[in-house]
Amino acid sequence: MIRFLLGRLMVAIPTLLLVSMLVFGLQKLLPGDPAVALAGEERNPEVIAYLRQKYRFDQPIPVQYASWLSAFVAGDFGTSVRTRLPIREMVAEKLPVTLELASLSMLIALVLGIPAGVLAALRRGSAFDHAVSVLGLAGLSIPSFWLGIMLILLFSVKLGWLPSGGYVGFFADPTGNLRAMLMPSLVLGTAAAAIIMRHTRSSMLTVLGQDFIRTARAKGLKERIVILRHGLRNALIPVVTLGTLQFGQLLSGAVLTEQVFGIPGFGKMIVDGVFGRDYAVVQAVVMCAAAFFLLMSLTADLAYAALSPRIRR
Amino acid sequence: MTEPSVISALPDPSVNGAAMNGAVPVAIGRAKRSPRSAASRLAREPGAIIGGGIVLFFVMLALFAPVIAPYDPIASDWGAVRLPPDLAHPFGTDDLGRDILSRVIFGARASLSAGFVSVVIAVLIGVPLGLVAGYFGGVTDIAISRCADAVLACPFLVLAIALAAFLGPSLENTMIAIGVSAIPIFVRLARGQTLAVREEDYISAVISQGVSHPKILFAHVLPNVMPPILVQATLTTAIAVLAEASLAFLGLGQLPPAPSWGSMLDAARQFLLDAPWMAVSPGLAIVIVVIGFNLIGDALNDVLNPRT
Repeated sequence: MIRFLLGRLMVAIPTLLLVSMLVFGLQKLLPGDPAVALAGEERNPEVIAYLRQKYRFDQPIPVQYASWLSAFVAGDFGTSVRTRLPIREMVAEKLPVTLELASLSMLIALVLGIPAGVLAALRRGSAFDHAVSVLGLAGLSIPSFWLGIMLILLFSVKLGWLPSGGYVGFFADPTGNLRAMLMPSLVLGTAAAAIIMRHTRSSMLTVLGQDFIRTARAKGLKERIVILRHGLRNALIPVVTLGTLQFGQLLSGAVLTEQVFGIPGFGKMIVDGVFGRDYAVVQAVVMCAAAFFLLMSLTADLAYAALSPRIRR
Repeated sequence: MTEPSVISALPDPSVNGAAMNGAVPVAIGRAKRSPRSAASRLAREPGAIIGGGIVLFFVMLALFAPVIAPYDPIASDWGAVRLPPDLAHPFGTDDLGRDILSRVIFGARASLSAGFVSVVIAVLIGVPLGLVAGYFGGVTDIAISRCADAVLACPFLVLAIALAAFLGPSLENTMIAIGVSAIPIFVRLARGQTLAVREEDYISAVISQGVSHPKILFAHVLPNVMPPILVQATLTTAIAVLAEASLAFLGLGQLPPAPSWGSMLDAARQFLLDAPWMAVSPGLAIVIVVIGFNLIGDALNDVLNPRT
């Protein structure tokens, strides 16, 4: 198991290094002097001189990259030109907000997606199966920001049941926090639920068609045991992998959801960074998102190995 | 009903998993089946008919927008600001007194062109890279695959936003940003498929006859890896249409005043209380177009990659 983990790490670390080159390369797309561009709108000559010296913009590109990367690895993500705060502090403040949103969304996606997928597979071709398929297609096709706007129209504008946006910390006001997070999590969870449902259904159908299920039935086991213990258990292995990767992807979806509901999270940070021409923030967010995704895909590999020992070899 | 594809409608998770294990379980050699029979089976899939009809309808709207649209999509009528839907303006008017129906019709142009162009960019760059990686293996494969992994590690939309931000807002840059973000999907898929095809006897036979590598790749490998790529390209078009709308919603796409469904929704957000109709039709248009592409993709998958 440890060798397997090390093997995976050996792949993940070079990948992250390549991401850092990509993120660094993005900066080269900016027109003009990178120090001026990174310094933002104000063109404060002191800031420009400081950045030029810090990132060695007068040196060859590999030297620039090395000094940028070593600062990054040491935890110095730079300073936001807009808020003038160290970007590391901003990340530490906003990441938990987005993680809460992503976790709640994943919970909704699993609670909706897995039972729907299993039931649809068991009643293949039934009206329920068709209804679930149509809902799954809709879930995949609705833009999250539009679903968010429609929910706000219904639950906030028309019915007045839920706040249309804003955020309070969970520890400051648990009920208020959950009320504010309910619609965003539902919006973000919908697409994930659709994907998980489709894969659960297809995985369940594949497993139920296999020989060992026939054997289990032939042994005279109760249908419930066959389906739950032999069918579902095996069918869920790929779903666990998918769900973990999906969780890594939720950060991406959170960008729009946070924008619609005005949640001060990681996704809003990148949008504010883009519009404030705060390029160091954009770089840091992309790097953190990639690192998080790689961590999740490492977790997915480990979960897969733990659940199906065949893969460990 | 349609079976969900192993190749999912999202940029990566399943493609990831599939490519990790070598190849998408696709019927190699079955691709040799005549294209006509595949087309006729496709014509009998209800999903393909509905999806095809939807996409064709919106393509027509986009092409003939100036003829179909009742009003100029960017002309303001200050006497008709935020009017609810009525006979003169079936979808109402927006905050600048522009006819929403006309803007939805013209918005099909940004949406569809972004969908098509970005997927063409991703396929034209991603597929050859994947073919080369899978066919030659070794260092070439490692270099290409690692780069694809790196791009894939950046969440799709975050990468597209970052690229669009660094390139500057415009419809063309949106297409480039979405296209580049989608390249690794096709690299991994084409690579996995090529690895599987390479093991086939007829490829070794062609190699032993001394046929040149480029010829083998394009004349023998490419046709066999095309079916799953076609499926993925269709599903990716759905994703690209959503991504274009998302970027435009964030203010990174089509520059105003030219209409885009995403930017119309962004404007609508500020008038939810007094003009909720502004938010309805552009969103419905996105949903319908995306459903259209997803239906075609699922139907193509059923026809080209039969698994049961």
